[in-house]
Amino acid sequence: MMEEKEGAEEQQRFSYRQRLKAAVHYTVGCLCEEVASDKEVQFSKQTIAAISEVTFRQCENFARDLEMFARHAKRSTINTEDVKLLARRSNSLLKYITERNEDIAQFNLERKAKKKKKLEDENKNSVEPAEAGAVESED
Amino acid sequence: MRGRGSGRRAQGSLAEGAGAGLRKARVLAAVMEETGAGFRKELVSKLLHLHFKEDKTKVSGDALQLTAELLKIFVIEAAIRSVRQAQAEELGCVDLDQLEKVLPQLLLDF
Repeated sequence: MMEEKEGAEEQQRFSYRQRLKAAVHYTVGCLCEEVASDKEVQFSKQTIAAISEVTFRQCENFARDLEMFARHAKRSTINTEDVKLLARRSNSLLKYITERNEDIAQFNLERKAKKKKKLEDENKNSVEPAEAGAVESED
Repeated sequence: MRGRGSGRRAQGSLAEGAGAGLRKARVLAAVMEETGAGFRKELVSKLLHLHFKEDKTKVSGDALQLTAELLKIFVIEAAIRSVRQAQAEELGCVDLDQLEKVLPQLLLDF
């Protein structure tokens, strides 16, 4: 009975893994298609599948490294500094990732500011009609 | 790029080749930013958690976004370097042979 249960769990883990691989394959396919149309070449299906496979395996390296970097810094939450460390092997890659990190931080900052402003505006608008009469009479 | 010269002569051509490829990829990625494909945060999260050894390990939202960018550039690099290989061999189709030739340096750069 135990073996059956383990077998079923194993099967579930395998299908989950396959689904993730398929999701990666889809994204890789989209990215390759954009490169292909920009460079006016074609990728063979096997090439896209191979890039997808390599990318999936690279994720394992990234995950393990990230976990260790965070743990080394005595944290359990991986942050952007850990991700930047992943890009240490190539100067231009590190530079690119650092720039992207700043873009992301800036974008998120602006988005939060917009949300905050939107909330403030909504609050103002809901209060205004009640005050409008008072303001007009002052004029 | 200028600072790279000293003490790295031996690796010069390889590093520059990689650097040039990354510059092109960066331009392409920037162009693709607005409309292009990419790895969704949810997918990246699942991919990372699949390989964590500890249950308590978490990933911040910004780190997920940045990892998604890193994966995107990884794929674009693989694609662009394979294309350049195919162009060097005067082929119109990028096949496994071209990818195999660029794979070692790609993995070393990441």
